[in-house]
Amino acid sequence: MDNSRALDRFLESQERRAYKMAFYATGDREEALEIVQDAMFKLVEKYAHKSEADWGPLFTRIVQNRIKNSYRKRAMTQRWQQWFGANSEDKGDAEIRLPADTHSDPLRESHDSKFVTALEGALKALPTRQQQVFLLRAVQGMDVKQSAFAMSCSEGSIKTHYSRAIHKLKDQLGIFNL
Amino acid sequence: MTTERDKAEEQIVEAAQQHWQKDEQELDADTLRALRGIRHSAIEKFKRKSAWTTWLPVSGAALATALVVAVVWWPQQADIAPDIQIADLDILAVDTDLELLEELDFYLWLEEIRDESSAG
Repeated sequence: MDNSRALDRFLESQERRAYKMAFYATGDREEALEIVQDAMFKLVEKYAHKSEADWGPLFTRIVQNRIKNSYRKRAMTQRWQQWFGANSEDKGDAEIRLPADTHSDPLRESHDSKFVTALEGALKALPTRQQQVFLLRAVQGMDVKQSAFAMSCSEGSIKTHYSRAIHKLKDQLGIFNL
Repeated sequence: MTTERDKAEEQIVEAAQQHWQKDEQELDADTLRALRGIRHSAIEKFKRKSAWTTWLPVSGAALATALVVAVVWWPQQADIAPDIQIADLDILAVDTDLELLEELDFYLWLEEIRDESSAG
């Protein structure tokens, strides 16, 4: 049965979100696009025959796995660099962070805009798992069970990561008198 | 205190949702084009795979049919072989007639000689 149209519609509905998730995690446009490509190819190759209702959770899970793989590679590279003296900073896999986006847009001068800029920077600075759990739960509206499936971890881990993420965001954004 | 913290969480979540939606809608043209290209490649891959998986059973069925026909038809051909051998025996049996045909000119000349002798 040719369900290519349904598949195309589904992927179109997911592509921007998947890219943003990957971009927040990697901070690199090309790497984010590569993650989306891998995820789309894997979905059509392995799971196209599944019901349309299953595509969403499966696609999110594939994207998350790709993000995880990307971070493993990056962590490995960083360790090699450290061993060869190129980088003396070692935060460990769980604590790998992207630099906070401190680039300020001249148009964002209002209090709200500053808050949003600070929030974006704080989100990008979160450890990957906390960041992704926060995005899945808070931004995409997934419940604990759905998030656990997407992240391939226990529901308890999801609760822990989310709680830590919220605490860090509150601490970092406390200056805005939340 | 708990209420304040919950309110703070709500503010963060709400701001993150709004920012996320805005960001999604305002992706740059190059990125959107790249995403569209990736999606089209994925769909093409799916179509190729679908076509292959559709024709595979058909080809398999055709091959199986051909094999069945071959298996059924071959022994019949083997049964025909003795008849051909018998026909060959018939040809061998008329081997002398063939010799007559090969020497026909001689026999015709011999006949003419005989006729002339009897007439003369």
